[in-house]
Amino acid sequence: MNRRIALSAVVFAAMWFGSIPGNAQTTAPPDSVALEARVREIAATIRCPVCLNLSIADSPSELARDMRDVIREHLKRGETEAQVKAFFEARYGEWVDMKPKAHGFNLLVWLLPGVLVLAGGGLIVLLVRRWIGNSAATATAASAGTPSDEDRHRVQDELARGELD
Amino acid sequence: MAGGLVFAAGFLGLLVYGLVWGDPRAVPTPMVGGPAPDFALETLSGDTLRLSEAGDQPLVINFWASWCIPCQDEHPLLVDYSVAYKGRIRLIGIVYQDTRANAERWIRERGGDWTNALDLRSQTAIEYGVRGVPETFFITRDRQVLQHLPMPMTPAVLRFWTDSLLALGKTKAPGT
Repeated sequence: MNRRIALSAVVFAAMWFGSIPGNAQTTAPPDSVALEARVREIAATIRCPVCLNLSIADSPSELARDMRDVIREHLKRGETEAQVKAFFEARYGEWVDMKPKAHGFNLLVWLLPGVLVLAGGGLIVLLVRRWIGNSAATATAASAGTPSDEDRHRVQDELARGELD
Repeated sequence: MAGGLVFAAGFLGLLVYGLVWGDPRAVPTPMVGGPAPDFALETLSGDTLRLSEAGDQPLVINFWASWCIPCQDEHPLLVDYSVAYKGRIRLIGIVYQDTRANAERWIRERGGDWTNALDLRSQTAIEYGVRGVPETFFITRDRQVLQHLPMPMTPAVLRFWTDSLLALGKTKAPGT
């Protein structure tokens, strides 16, 4: 019995002490996890210079990977997101920002969709009103073409006369 | 009907503007007119090259890689250029996303006695706003970026910007 308890204690100790280094290797410190989340968050707002409209968070290119490293280094130095983005804009231009700033020519990007929606809405209203107008006119024209009682009687009379003839 | 015509005319106008006045190769290069970022890179000969210690000659910095096809066409031009402007301009090659072995083999096979440095993690390329290779920067004596050309060099382009560099002397680059 004692041997069994001693053996269990040894196995337990081996598992316990054996698990510590393993855990240390596989679980990243919370700071590192938070840093990587920040890197990814900022990288998602920066356009990859060598890809077709991909952010450097999504691009598999080497340059995107190296740019993510630059973001990491700047964040480690205590820079803010605005400072990191300013660094890339100073080198690659405003183009590198996935979300263009709403000023100057860029305003078109922000205003044009609204203008187009309004114009489209106006066009729909105009067309619907025109269709409704056309339908009413057709109905009026149709009602204008309904024979009066007098005409109906006249036709009936003429038909009757024709039958008699 | 009239609205559709206005829309079509506007669209056509933008298209014509882009075709006639837009340069499809043009990319924003905000580095021009600003200070050239300093760097410290290991050269192929094992030394450390720093921009701040690169002498007082105007510089032409060429980013290249052995896997880059346009760089193969550009290299003989740079060999001739380095001879023609020796002593007046310092040509520096920066190896972009490539290995030391590939770069050494490239220089051994194709020639060239100018300094080439390794930018293994693209840090200097990113500092210079490089998008791909080859790209060339013309740096004045007071280390301002006179021009950034993200395309393979031609003899005429190289000569024009080098002569501009030399003509500037110690004056500052435009826009500074």
